[in-house]
Amino acid sequence: MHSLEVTDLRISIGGRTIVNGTTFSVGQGQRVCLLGESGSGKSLTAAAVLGRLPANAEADGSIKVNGIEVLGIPASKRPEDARVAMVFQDSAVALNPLVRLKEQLIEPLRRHRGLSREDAAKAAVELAESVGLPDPEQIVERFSAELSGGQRQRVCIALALACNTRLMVADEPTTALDVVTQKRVLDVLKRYTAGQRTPALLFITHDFAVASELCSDSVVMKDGDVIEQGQVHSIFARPEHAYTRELIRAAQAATVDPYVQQFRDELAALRASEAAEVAARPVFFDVGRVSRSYRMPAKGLFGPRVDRTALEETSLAIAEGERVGIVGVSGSGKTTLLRLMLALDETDTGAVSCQGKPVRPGTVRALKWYRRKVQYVPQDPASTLDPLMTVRALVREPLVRLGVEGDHDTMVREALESVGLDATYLRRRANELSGGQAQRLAIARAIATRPDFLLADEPVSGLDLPMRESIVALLRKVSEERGTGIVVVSHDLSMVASLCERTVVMHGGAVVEDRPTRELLTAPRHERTKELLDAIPTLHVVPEGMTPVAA
Amino acid sequence: MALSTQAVPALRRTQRRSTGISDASRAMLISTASRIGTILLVIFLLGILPLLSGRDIAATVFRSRYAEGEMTPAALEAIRQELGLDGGPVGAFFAWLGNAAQGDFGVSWTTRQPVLPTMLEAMGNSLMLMLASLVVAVVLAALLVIPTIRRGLAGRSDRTGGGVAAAFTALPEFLLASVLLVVFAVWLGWFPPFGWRGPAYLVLPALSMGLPAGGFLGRLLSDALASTFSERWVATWQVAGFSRTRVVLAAIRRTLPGVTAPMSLILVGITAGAVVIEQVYAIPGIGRETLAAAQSQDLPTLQAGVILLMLLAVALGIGANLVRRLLLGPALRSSSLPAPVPKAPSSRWALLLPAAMLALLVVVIVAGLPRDPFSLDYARLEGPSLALPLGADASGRDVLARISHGALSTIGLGAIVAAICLAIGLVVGLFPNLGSGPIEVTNAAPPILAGLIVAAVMGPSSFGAAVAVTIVSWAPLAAHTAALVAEVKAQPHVKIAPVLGVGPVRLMLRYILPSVIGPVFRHACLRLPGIALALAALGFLGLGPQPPASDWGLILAEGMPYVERAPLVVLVPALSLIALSIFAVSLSSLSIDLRGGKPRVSRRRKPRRSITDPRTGLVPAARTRTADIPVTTP
Repeated sequence: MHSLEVTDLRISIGGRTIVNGTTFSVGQGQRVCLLGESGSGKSLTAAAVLGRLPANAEADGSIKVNGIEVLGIPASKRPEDARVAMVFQDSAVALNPLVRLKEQLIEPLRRHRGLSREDAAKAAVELAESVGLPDPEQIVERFSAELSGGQRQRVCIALALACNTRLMVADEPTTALDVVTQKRVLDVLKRYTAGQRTPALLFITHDFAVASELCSDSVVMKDGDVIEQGQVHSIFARPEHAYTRELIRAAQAATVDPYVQQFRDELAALRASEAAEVAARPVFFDVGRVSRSYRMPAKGLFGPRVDRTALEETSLAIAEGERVGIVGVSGSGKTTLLRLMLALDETDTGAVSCQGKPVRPGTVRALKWYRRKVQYVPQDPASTLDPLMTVRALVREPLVRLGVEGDHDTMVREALESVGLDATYLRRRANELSGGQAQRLAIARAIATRPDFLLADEPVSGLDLPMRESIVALLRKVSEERGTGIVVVSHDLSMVASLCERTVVMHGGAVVEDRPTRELLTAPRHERTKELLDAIPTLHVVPEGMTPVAA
Repeated sequence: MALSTQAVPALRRTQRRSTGISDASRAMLISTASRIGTILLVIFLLGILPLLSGRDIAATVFRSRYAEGEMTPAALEAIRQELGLDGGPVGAFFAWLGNAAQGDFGVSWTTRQPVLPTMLEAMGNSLMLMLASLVVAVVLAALLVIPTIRRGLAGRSDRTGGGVAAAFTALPEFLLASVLLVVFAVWLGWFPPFGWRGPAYLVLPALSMGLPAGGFLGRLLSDALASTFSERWVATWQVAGFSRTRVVLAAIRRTLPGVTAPMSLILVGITAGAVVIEQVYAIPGIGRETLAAAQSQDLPTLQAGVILLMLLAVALGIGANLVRRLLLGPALRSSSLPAPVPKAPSSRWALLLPAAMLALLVVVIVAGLPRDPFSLDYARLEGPSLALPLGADASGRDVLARISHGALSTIGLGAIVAAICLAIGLVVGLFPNLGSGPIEVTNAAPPILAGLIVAAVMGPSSFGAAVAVTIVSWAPLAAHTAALVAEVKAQPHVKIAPVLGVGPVRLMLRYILPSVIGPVFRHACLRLPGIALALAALGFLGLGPQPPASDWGLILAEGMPYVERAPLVVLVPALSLIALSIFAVSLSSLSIDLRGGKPRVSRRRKPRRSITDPRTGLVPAARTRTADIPVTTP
């Protein structure tokens, strides 16, 4: 008997078919992933399995949990054997913010395991400990907002485990987490599912690498249809559908393995000459023993105020024209450092200087010289374009505001040309451009003042693979053609590996490792660097006939 | 991996970080100073109210003390010194404050009795009435909330139907009181019409005040509960097999903190409602005393009345805030409550009701326009005929003509008020911290209270009524503006502006204002019917246009004495006002996208978060007034 059997499931909302005849099954003790992008119908399929379809959805076909037909039966009315546990995507909203975590764990333990209140309280602590929460007895007394994202998601898994079901559904549970935290959550899922006494797992994701780490079987969905289905490694070895190939390529692009290989070869070929060259260039940015902490809201009305240190005595020197990647997990202080370098925030102690001149927040007029030299490429650059301004007005804005001398129209045209947009775009509005064009336009605006440096904050996170590749290629092209230096803050090591010649690893507000990217990736020294590298989900089986994508 | 596994929203992070020490504490300082300043200003204005009225106070006080005595300059001088009048406004204020602090609010200028004992006794009656109304309101709200809970448990968190029923309970108090009085006291004779002599006298007033409050409370709770039920933890709990009772209790507990602020406004609204209700049912409460004082310009009584009403309102507000803190507990300090899930836009059918009401009003207005509202051409209270479709009033004037012309003047005045409110709201909303005090204070002040004060100073007139309604009606628009500004400022294309060299002035005018002005303008338009109703309510109390003006509230008030002989003189204005309030409420409960049609950068996948500061509660304040529109964030 299968834990879950979905047969010819069709779901439509308002007459529009969203899921078009899905058939798959999850055996006992199996982990199966449902792969697909948003809109492929995977989340709606999961909702049907859970009995939580929206009110206006119509579904037919069959869903059997442990052999019991459950389609159309809401979760609260299902028989004990047909219950399904769930881990949602965003842990920040998946738990009641006003109820102590302990209370939220105790209720299902009492209900589904028949424990007394005292026993359930003990079991809750044990569960918290088993999913790897630090200091479990203290942590279950807290509220969900007091935990970090990774800790919260582990509480959600504990809650799902507490339900003692034969099937667990997890809907993109690691999407909002950084790689290191993601690995911890995946480890917990791996340990507590698909065993003798633990539930089978239906894992919903868009990430082939994560799927290949966790699951044995895979169902690939696109536009409501199942386009491919079978064992993960055989799909990986012989992807039949173009979309599956694209998913695999995206997963490969996110790993650093190809770069590591390439760097090893290069390092073997040449030694020391280049590093010496970089060191000879004059220093552009000098970050000298900079500290920054933020005041957290007080606990209680008269509680002590707590300061959270974001940066502690961090020093960093960056030479002209260098391409530097700053990596680290969430909360490592890398974004704070970038904000200080952008003169958007004040240091507590220490100072940031640019070519010997101090850089600190001030009026637009006082910072004009600096803004001309250093421009910013934000996360998802296209989102920073005012949709109602024309292309010309957008690119001219920094030229006019920063008082750059020369013929602005010529400079606008030049900037557009270097990102591959021609003069016919000048009169269009930002919201008339395609996604890719808009990303290019945003970069054109950043380079319009001919800056010496571009500071980028997660410029490609949240974007799909073609867009990522084109932005990274563009940044590299700009840097190589114009000699513009780039500092990019990210937790995406593969992007840093493809763009930057030097990598700085930050942790807990301090620089823990700072070396040329080649050396850092091929022979990491610091514990945290190794952890970052280990955490990147890897494709476990290399398919025949497919070569890793080179940069 | 490639798509967005690593997509930690950096925007959210930078947002959190940008509230560093200096920014946050400066904002806090400004808004606290603004609050204290506003309250002091209000107290100061109240203290020197007699001076503002421009009369010879010493003479008035002399007359109120010694009805027969001879008014010698020496006696007047003694009074001036006693009242601190020779020290100018400031001296008068401190003299008044010193006396008031000792419980001496002076002597009434009309009855020559000490003010405070009379007012305290009246306050007791009012509190009893408010308590009874509160019971009615809570029962009604509970009934209205039940269907929402059932739908929520079934996993449907769409807005409840019942909008029509809620609209009918949301009639303004003066209207409901008149209708209930006519139906149950005059026609059916079930309850006594006037007075204050036993429990039976409590029923109609409590219903008149409790039903609108309960209807509003029910609607508010339903919406808030529906949004709570759409939160993810409900799904987690249901899937984990929590019992229905536990889910419902937790949902209610989760909902209450968000609605305590508007609930305290409802309570404050009940204090203002007391003015009207006590007037209609002739109950010797503090509202009626204060109104009488305003009409006869008995300023010491008015001062005491307004101060007592304000103290009551402040006490309720502080109580609500304490309850909110208690309920939220630790979730407040981490200030990371889940953002509300946007509501789905209303269906086209929801437009039917306001459209029908609008059509009805337009027909009446057009039909009556060519007729003359002032000439006394007909017999007193003449019945309806083909030549006189709606009959004549007590002075023999054409009711249809008066309603039609009244609509034009009421709505026209309302439009001017709305336009002024829009301008004030935009300007104040652009400086949210500075404006927080005035916004809170005027948002909590009901139009009637403002009307009382303005009428006392300027004498009752349409201009005074317009000023009074303006004073309290700009606040929701300012709060809305402030919320939108905060939201627009958090958008990536505005956040990047400083890096491009855009200064603060250009940022405000070129980047922020264009995104804000459209939605706030539409908001102001949607408030227009509510403003017209507030004007009519002041007219009904005699604080607005004076006879023979054809203001709707005035027409209703003038007709009341003749309701038994000619029901039409009451029914016609009452029905018109009912149509107007259903129009206002059904329009306001439409969940219209107020942020303009242009979808901003649809490429982004992450939904924008609505900026609701759980501490200042600026946004909730914008959502709370009776005739408000839900500010939706798509």
